[in-house]
Amino acid sequence: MRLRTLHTHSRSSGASLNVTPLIDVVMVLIIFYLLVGRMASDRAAGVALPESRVGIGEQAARTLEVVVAASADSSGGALSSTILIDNLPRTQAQLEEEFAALSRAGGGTVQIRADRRLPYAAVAPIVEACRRAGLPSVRLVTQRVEGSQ
Amino acid sequence: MTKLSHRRNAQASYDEHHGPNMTPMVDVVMVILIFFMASTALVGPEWFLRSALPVVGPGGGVQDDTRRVRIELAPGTGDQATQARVADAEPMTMDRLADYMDALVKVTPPTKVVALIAPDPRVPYDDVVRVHELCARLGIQRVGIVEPAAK
Repeated sequence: MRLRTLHTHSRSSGASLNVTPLIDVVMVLIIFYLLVGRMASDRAAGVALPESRVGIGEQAARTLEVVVAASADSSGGALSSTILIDNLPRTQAQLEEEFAALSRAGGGTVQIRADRRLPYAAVAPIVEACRRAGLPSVRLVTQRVEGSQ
Repeated sequence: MTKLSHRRNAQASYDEHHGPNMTPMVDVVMVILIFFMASTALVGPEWFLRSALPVVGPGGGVQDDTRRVRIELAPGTGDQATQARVADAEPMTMDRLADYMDALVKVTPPTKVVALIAPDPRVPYDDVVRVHELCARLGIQRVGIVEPAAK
């Protein structure tokens, strides 16, 4: 009588490591750190927005965001402002050029993200440049507060 | 008699007894959740106040039954806060301005009111936004920023 040996644990059917969950977890961690890094750099821009309880939430189709960041002088005196577009400082002439280009391209919306600690004089050049470029309106970016409508 | 083993490999054996592996699906769902949570945080607690930039021309452009309210903002003297002036009224504080505008929209529907904010460059930007927000809160949709009157 010949006994057939049953190979219940053949070498080819050994437990293999499923790497799919490992790849997914690594992907999660990479995306998490990318997003957190992006959030941290945005917060580090240091723009304290004014607060408002009303506002509109939807984004316009074509927008150009202008950031007016405040920085304290080395002597700790009055705040100075820097106008940034795409994180690059811009002069008044460059600003007017950008707005004129936006107007020529069919118009759009300029969003002004300015620090609330600054005087209106820091924002006025942007508003005037928009008016001269023929843009009909601007949007003032504010921070929602509790009790908002 | 020996039974032919149905266990061709470990994976088939696992699937047979435990079902498909849910771990990759859970991970993908977690990725999507984190993506939407982070997107909300980035876009997040901000919104906009829309300001028109009126250009005064010969045509006017304002309907006859529209009430135009010009709010001049000037810095307060000394430690005083920003002062607001509307039409021929006396300069008032921001709180008094809120009462004034509240009384105004009770007389004139806010849809018929055009508010023009004329801030002095020395006025804090925060106060300009506060006045704009006040108008928006009262239902005045047409709010514009204009240059202050020349002194």
